[in-house]
Amino acid sequence: MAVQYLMEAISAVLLPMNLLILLLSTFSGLVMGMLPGLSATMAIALLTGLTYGFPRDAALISLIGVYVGSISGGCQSAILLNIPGTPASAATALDGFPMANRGEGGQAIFLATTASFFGTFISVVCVLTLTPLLSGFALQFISWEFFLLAIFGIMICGSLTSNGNVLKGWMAGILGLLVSQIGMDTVNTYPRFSYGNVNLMSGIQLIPVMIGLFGFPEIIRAFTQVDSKVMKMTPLKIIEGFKMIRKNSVAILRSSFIGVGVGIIPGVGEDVGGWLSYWATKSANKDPDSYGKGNPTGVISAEAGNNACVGGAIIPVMSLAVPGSAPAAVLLAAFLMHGYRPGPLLLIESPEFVYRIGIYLTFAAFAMWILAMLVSRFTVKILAVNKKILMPIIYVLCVIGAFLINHLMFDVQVMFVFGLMGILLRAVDFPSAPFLLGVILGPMADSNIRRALIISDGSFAPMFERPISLVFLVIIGFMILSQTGVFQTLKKMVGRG
Amino acid sequence: MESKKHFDLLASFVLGLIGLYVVVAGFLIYRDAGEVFYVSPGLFPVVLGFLLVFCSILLLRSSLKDGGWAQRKVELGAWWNEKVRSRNMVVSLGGIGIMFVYTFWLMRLLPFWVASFVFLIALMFYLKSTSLIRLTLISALTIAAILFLFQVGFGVPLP
Repeated sequence: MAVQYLMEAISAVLLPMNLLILLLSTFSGLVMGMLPGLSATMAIALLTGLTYGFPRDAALISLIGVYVGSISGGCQSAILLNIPGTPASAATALDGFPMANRGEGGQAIFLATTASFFGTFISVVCVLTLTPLLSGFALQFISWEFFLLAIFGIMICGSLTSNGNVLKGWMAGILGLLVSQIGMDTVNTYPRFSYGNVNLMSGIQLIPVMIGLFGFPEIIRAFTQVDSKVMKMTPLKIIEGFKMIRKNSVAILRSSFIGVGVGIIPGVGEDVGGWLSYWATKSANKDPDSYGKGNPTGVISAEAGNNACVGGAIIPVMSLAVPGSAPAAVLLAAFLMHGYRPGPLLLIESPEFVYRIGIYLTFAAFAMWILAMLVSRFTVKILAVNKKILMPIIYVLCVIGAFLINHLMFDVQVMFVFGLMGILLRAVDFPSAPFLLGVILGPMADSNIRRALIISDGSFAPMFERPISLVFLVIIGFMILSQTGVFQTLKKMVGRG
Repeated sequence: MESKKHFDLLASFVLGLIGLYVVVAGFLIYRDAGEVFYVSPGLFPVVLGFLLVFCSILLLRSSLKDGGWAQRKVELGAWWNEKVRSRNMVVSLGGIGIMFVYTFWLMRLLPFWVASFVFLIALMFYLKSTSLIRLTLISALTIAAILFLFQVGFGVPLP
């Protein structure tokens, strides 16, 4: 039966009209993902309305195409401009931009795109095989685990991006968590830090913060460049690139499985998948100091991880009707709009659905790889443009990106304010990425710790009684002790006898 | 690598004060919301505020290593004289000023395409990007492309 469903899905996607829709939607996704501030969430949200009158298959193909394209597209601006097109590609910029600085931008894009392809492909295998099995594990998560997961994510990100001073990374994360507290709280709907301002009451939107933090400092930095340095690009050597991919096959596999795992956990998106995969690869490497300085394995890991999240995030959508990430939440709404009922009954009511999604993801990954290679020829030229011409144009795009979320000028102003904050953070060597992650995960941490405490009547005991919580606590404790030098001090003390 | 301990000192003060403010504001939220503390919307801000103050103290301590207050004061003075009064800083502040006028004022007064056109010309001209004719042409083409892509292509409303 499964083979029949797979064949039906393949024949559906190979219809000329559907193939054209796949190419167009993946291309749109790539462009949207590439432009700072135009996120995957926004791309799918925009397309959902447009696909209202489409036949089911065409609608699903276009939505999946734009999702895969937009998550992958973000890497190109992360590599070439150090501005992640989407939060998912923030980790890619760590090594991608230094590679571009060395004149290896084309190679970095090839590696990132190919790793994205493999990440998506491996996630498809997981979608098809693990959907019924893995959803059971995610179901075991309760509020304690979600809270600890948020803290764990921020601490990892803080440690990864701190440039030697972990304290600064963690402080940036705390600042981000504080920003996420602005607006109505999700448990009591009590307005916090809004000072009677209606716009602040609805909270600070993620996209303007992201554009401000990552885009603004780059724009300002271009103002003070004495000469607009055009980066020399090495020609794209595909065979060499494939050799590099083959050499990093273990990192791709590890990152893809991490990405799928992160994607399955509700509420944790592609950005965490990218960071976690990057962290895992860096930790496993014999030369962790080379990361952040243009190590190709860093680019490969981050991209394989964030793209594997696409499939991972769809798994709980289909099996539990719970989105694994923000774009997957919009996708869930789109599935409902097109007459599917995601959830435990989906496999009974529409058994072909999982196979169709798997096949559409695979074809979208192929389309993404081919199109990204073609598009990169033009993206690379961005580097040759005088940045004093390019950056004012990018600022106008940033304004549009911030505005499109709610069609509010307030969000544009928020983007400006967080842009200034991004400049200050950079000046004092505080990383922006944990700040952003704090803004993303703040509501999850806040609401879950309070829900957990309500259920336990204010007792923290259940957190230490649950095995999954305990694992998180041990990892967090280990991170604090290792990063603050406690282990080294203990080692010295033991050495002295 | 340039030592930034003087910045760490400044950051520890500013963030410590923010942390203290958040702790006080969190307790006020707790008082006004009238819930038990562990349910209160003030719980998480209070915890975060305390954490920020704690981390700021640690940062302050590490910033005062190797030289103490006197050395940091000298470094801050040197930074002020060297960087703040430099041409790069003036250019950056001017550019930020133009972006501020565009974001907070120009877009309220004029239609988006006019405001953006004026902004692009003003900023490119200020940065001496290229000749006036060329930058006018680039600005016009950019605005036309943006309008076509977003309004015609994606069908989304612009500011």
